[in-house]
Amino acid sequence: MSEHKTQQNQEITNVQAETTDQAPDPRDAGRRQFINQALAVSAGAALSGFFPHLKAAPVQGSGAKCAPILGKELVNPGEIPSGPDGILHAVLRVHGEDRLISYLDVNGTNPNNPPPACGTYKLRAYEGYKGTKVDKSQMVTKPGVYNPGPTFRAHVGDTLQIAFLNHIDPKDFPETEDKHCDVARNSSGTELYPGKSGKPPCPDSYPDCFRGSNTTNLHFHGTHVSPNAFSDNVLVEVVPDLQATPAECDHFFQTIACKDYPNPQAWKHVDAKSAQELQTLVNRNQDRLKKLDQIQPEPNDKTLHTRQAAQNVHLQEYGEFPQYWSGCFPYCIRPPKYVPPPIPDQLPCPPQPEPKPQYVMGQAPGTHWYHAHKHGSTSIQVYNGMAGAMILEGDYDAKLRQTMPGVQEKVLVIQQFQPQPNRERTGGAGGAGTGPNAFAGSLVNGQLQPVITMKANEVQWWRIINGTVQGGKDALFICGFDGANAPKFFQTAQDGVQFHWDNYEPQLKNPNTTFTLAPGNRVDILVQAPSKAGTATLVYKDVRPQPTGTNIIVTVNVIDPTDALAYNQRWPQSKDQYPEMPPFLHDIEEVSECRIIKYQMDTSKGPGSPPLINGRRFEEGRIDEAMLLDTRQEWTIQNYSVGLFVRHPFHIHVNPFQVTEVFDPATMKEPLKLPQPWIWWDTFPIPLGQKDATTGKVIPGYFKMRTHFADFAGKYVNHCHILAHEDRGMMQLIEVVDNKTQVIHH
Amino acid sequence: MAEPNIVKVTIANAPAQTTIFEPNPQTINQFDSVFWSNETTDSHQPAPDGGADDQWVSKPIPPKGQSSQVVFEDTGTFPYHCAKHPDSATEKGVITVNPQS
Repeated sequence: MSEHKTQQNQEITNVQAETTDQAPDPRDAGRRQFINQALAVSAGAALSGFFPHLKAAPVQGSGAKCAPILGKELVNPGEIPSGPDGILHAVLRVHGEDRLISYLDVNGTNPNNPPPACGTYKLRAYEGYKGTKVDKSQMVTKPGVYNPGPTFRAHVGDTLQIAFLNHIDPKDFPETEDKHCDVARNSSGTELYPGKSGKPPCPDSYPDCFRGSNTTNLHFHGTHVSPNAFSDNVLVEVVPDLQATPAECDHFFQTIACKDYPNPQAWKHVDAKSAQELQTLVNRNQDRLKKLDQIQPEPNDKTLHTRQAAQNVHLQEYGEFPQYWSGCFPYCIRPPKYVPPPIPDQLPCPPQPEPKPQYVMGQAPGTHWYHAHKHGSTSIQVYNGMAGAMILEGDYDAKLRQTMPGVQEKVLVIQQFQPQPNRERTGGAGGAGTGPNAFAGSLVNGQLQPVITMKANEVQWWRIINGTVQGGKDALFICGFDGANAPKFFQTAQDGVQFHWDNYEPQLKNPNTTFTLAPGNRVDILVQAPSKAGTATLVYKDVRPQPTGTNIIVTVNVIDPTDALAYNQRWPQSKDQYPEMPPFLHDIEEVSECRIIKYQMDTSKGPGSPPLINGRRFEEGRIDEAMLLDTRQEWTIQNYSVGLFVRHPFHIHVNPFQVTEVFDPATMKEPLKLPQPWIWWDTFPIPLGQKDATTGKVIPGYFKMRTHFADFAGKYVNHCHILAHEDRGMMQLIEVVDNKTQVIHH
Repeated sequence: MAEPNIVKVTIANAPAQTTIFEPNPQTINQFDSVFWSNETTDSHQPAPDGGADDQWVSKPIPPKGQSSQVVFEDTGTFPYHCAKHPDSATEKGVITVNPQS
């Protein structure tokens, strides 16, 4: 089939999809006909072979009038780039919106071979705007359909100014309170969640439960930036404020939001003018919070915001940044560009201290992302779609583009959806605490099983982000291509940090067949299409039985090029064609301290078991680990959990880490010491524990990692990236303590 | 055994002689959950016939609002009504709960 014909057919498909999205009666008998037509038209007869599993008629969820959309060509999320002045201006607005979701209906009459289905649900959804205004002509996200937030694309060293508006109307989602756990009852009125005794085995309680899901914030996952003030500060909570406007942020971006806050106290120690500006912002916030209780009260807590304002005062008395914010919140991050220290021309006399770079680490250029991170509401908000890609470009990107001129770049934000308005657990067949998996199938950029068309021998650059809450159904977090016509791929980066040449080069002779993609992980792969036309799928490689089709991420359609248009067929094949590893990403050879961190979840006591780290849940006001700034440490991250769903993906903010050793008791007798150079990660699934058949004791799985607590002091977190576990308390508050002091001898 | 599902019942303005609850009946399996999404301009409070007003939903669901989940652990037919408008002929519905297959 010619490319021209494919494009033409794709256009026809788009027109048909737009028409049929609105037109058909959901209950008419022609639905099966529709899906067959859509498949046939979308790329000709070859495409109909993509979906042999779709045997049953598509169905609709909850009586909504819609038509499921699947198998359409993948569209990258809309982008907001930084400008030539090195500043990215964006407005990110969260609000309640009805959005169409397509999925595979594993709860229908054919659970083993689920048909496509769809429904319209009210979600907390991102709208992304270029610039500094809520201007519909500058909106890059898609209204009315499930899709991620905008892709922020900037260069390392740029400044990202994001005017953040929480326009969620609490009346849209009235059954979720900040200070109490959400409640689910059975039909007799008995409380099932959070539960009082016996069921679940250890009931969730504040603050480690699903709650407060109309309050939100942002985490810039993979960035090496300050965790304080207006930067990657996940302790901040932005409450709903329907009157907030981006103009409120403009002034503060110019004055205080983008100053450097390398330690928690830095915001208290600025010049007099900045201090005055800060106080103006703080005062405005305090006034707004108190007024919210009158003009926009929480449905079930009429004095909430006044109490939050009082807590801010308390925090300020201790020099801490205010926790609760109303109005526009001026997020400002500046992922630092590493600049090597100057080399002196001659040996100074007398000897001077060795010059140091401004930033010891620098931001690794690569594929990163952002998502909601308010404790207690992270999982429902990410299920609602509150995540997006963040691509920070640098020498890595420039070199790959030099080697592969004109290369097509695909951004794949993988998400999953569940229909409930809040995240409270249900009882049910699996027992209290079991989360439903009603809505199976991954969405990529909001699309169900999209198609990526490649020309024979074409090499494309795929940036893949696992933005799911818990991965695929029963996911083991391993992905690869299936099918006789499977492409080859060469991985160039993990978690937004490039591979060293020594880790990339072996793939040239022996390409990998799988890559790790736990929730939170990113991979960059160069995908090389086979030399002949055909199809293949990118799937979760789960060894356990799955409903047909639910493990498919995307389908690859390889076509024969029949025109003379050039396309990229190159990939780095020699060291000079490959990005050089920046010096700040060299191996951490020496460490000054070692620690053991134990992730624990005893599922033998039944579903809903408490998720623990070192025997404890997250607790407000308690710091679990403290490290001195600029120390290099080795942590052994153990997993004492056994069973399904408990290969906890360990994630730590601000600094990436190198995995040096892995032990999986199910498959290894001895730990696997990994060869250098070590790969950098920021999220790593801990191998499961294994119960010893003789003693009954759990032998923990583990990995060892080395990290450098560089550049930024402050409070941030490590946690399980199965986000429901994080909400329920599998999170540690850590503090990196500044290694400088104002105390001097005089 | 299938894992529990969560389904939506929409509350929408309806022509006379019909119900504001859509779909009606809502048919689910044992251990599934139901929540209500109010698309009318008035508040509504689904409650089981013969039960307390706040047995399923603690407070009336405001316009545009959505309720929390109600888990149906028993099989059978569960007729319900709007506790805020108990005399309205169009504000009645049924949840039918089938055994797990």
